Amino acid sequence: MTDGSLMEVRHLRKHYPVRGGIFGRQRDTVKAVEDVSFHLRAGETLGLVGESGCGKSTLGRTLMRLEEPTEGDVLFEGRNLARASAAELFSLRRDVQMIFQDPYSSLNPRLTVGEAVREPLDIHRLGSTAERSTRVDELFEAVGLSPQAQNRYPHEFSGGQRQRVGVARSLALRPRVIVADEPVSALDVSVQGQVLNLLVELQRELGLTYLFISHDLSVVEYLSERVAVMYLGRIVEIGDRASIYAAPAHPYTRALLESVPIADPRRRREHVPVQGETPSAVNPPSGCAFHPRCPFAVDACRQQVPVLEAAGEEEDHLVACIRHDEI
Amino acid sequence: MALLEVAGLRTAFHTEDGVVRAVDGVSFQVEAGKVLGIVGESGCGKSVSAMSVMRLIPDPPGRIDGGRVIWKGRDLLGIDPDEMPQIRGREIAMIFQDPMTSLNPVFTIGKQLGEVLDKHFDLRGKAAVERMIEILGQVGIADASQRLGQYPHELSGGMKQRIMIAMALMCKPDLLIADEPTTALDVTVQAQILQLMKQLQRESKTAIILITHDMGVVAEICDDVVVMYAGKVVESCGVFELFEHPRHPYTRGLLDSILRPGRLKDVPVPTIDGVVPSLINPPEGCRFADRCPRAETRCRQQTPPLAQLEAGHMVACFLPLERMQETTT
Repeated sequence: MTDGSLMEVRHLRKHYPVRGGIFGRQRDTVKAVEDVSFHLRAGETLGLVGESGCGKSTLGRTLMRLEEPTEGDVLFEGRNLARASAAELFSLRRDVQMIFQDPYSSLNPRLTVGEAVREPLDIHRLGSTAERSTRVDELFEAVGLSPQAQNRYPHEFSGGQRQRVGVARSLALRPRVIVADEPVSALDVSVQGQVLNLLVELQRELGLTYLFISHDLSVVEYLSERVAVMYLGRIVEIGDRASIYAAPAHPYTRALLESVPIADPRRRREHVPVQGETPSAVNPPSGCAFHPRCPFAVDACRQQVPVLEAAGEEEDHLVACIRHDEI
Repeated sequence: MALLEVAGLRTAFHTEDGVVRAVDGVSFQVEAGKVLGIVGESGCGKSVSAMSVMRLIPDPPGRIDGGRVIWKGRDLLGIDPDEMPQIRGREIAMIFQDPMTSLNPVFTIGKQLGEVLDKHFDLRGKAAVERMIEILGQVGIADASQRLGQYPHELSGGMKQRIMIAMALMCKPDLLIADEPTTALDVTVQAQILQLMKQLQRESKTAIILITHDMGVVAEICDDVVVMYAGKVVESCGVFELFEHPRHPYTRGLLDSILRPGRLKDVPVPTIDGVVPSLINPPEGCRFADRCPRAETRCRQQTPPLAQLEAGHMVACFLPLERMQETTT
């Protein structure tokens, strides 16, 4: 394993069959995640950014084994999440937890939020009944909810409070890695800030490592030490936040960054950063999947799939573009 | 004179839990050919205001309880409901966050566009097809003749929103109301659609009401802005004035909480503590008072009126912020 890395993902693939016709035969394959490799360093936040359909959520779910990987490894302290047996997975889940976009759909509406936060402790049989109650109190306090809130049901909470409950539940087993899939995307901006501050605070206090999946480039910039950009199932660029935002090497990363509207009427755009839309993952374009939209594409881009290589001087800044040093 | 003038609009929903005063005395104006942004967080009443203007509030449970919507010298709230379909679409068009709410899934794009041309312009057959191809070209759809034979589900979200814009503009309306038109789209496609709306507004001088929660979108395209909070307008002014000299503490809080480029986690995001009050029996006084760092006794007792602080800048606050204050903390 790479030095200082807590988790390593190697050549992960997740393919889905597309069935059709009257016999329901497999007609095609969607390569939702295609040969993705990266590592997570202890205590960092790696932001995973991309638009809808790029495979970022599938990557998160596959890494958690909520989806069975088609191929590849997910190494965590010598154990392989991708190949772990049910029993090994059960114990691995104590270390790796997930936060979802809408805790409303991930919380059982019939359980009080106190019971929901306590559930992982019951399932894993951690501590005595009294110890579990104390732990739930601690967790409520840690996420800024009053202990009285424990007896209420999810629907009685606002979106921001519900996400606090989701965070508390994910922390119950004292995990070391948290995969957060769009955890603030459903929230209003004033509430979004509260949840982001909470995530940062918890990371500092508990030394958590985050894989933060989001379509929102501003949120990713705010939270992350490193950033990976996905397009049609592949990582097209990965590196330190500062390099990615200040010197993006992939034409797609550039277009993505330029497309974000800036909250300053004196900085309006007068041109469209990139034309077209992400094509279907069923029949992705040949070669570099971005080539039909790329202003720099040449013949070679249509033929060969670019591999991640050093983008420049920065050691850890990788880009998958055959023309990155010319453009 | 303003193209559209909304004054004292009040719309309520009668629910099992009580009467929700979703829009409670809202006033704003749209100037001809300009883009007015109505901005606020979920539940602030921005969409209900627009739906009320179009008289599209489902009754029951909703009801427009008061106010005026002056359009070309007439009060739209007073006219015969049978007259509204002529105004809707023809004079005032509307597009929504989800184009599927307005596109019929069982008809082709050509059939749906054709219906509008038939109904409003008596245009059929070859002439109609030519007009359709022309208008689809204007909204950046290159292979238009092929698209006419397709069904909505065969098109991407961005493509559907382009079709909606084309449909809205076919009647050359004087006003386009766009309710979160880019919220469901990817950021690269959002940039394309915003550019398209800007271009159409410039070329055809259509005024736009853009309803959004995104201050970035407001900055990108709006001329004037109305900020709403808990069913009321708290501030309205020109877009530069709003971003550079916000005077209402809520507007200021909203602008401060935006994650601007270069902001990192070493410094916590400024937030607005607390939550939006319930619109069933909302508290007396200013509805933002409980979350406002400046609130004093008076703010909890009396409702601050929307008053002009200076030319073109209205604020509903007893203790507005000074001009020229830094907007970053």
